[in-house]
Amino acid sequence: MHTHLIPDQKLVVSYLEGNEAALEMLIRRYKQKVMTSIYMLVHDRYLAEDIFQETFIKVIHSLRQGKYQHEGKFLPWVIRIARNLCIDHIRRRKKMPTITDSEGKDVFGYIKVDEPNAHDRMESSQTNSLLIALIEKLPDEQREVLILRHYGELSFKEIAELTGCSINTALGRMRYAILNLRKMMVFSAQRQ
Amino acid sequence: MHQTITQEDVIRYAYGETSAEEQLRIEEALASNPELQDFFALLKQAAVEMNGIRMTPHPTSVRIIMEESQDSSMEISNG
Repeated sequence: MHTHLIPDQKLVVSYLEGNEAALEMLIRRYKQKVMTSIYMLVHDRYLAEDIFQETFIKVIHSLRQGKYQHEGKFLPWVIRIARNLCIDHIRRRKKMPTITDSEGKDVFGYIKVDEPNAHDRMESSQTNSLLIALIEKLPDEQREVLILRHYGELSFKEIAELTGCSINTALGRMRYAILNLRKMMVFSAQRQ
Repeated sequence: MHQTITQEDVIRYAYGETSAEEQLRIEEALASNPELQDFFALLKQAAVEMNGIRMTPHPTSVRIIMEESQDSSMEISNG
């Protein structure tokens, strides 16, 4: 079945008419872009998994409540929801006290470091891992524009509206993100 | 007088956010400006490398979402 030929809007309508498979198709179509965007924003595989679930559960409720107005922009709409949830989590995390052990290390840090990546389905080569690490090092504003534009497919105008800056500022952040990534790649290559 | 084409213009071009007229002007600038060519090549390389990063949620996450969908659907039909 050529699921790619079915437009998002048709799948949304079909889902609202009771076809659960239509939702599954939408999730299958966009799960990698949504998951990658979330992970790049929160830098935590397990939190990203939670936010991914929350995002689509919110999508379901919003669709059923008739809050989605289709303008050929299903993915950017989902990414906006995901981005706002990421910000909520980051804010909450900043307010949470860090639980440390007798040596002053964050105990939750062990989970990230020691747990095997059995659930980690990232299809990445070494280059991809390096790129992920470098993107994580970008200043928040630059990383956000890069992710929203590249994976979320939001236009620079939409990014400007969402993040409360001008289009020129959004473009400038994208430019610096690209230039900084190159600088870091060159630096990283020189160190090896 | 021709407006100078900037790297920001090249970014909009690379992401398909330019009008037909702008596209033509940017392509002309790209043909004659090595610095813009380098930047455009850098953008394309970054895009290719970013496309290589694909993270997939665990199947459990998708299952939880689908269960929530079915539950909320039953709530609606039960009134």
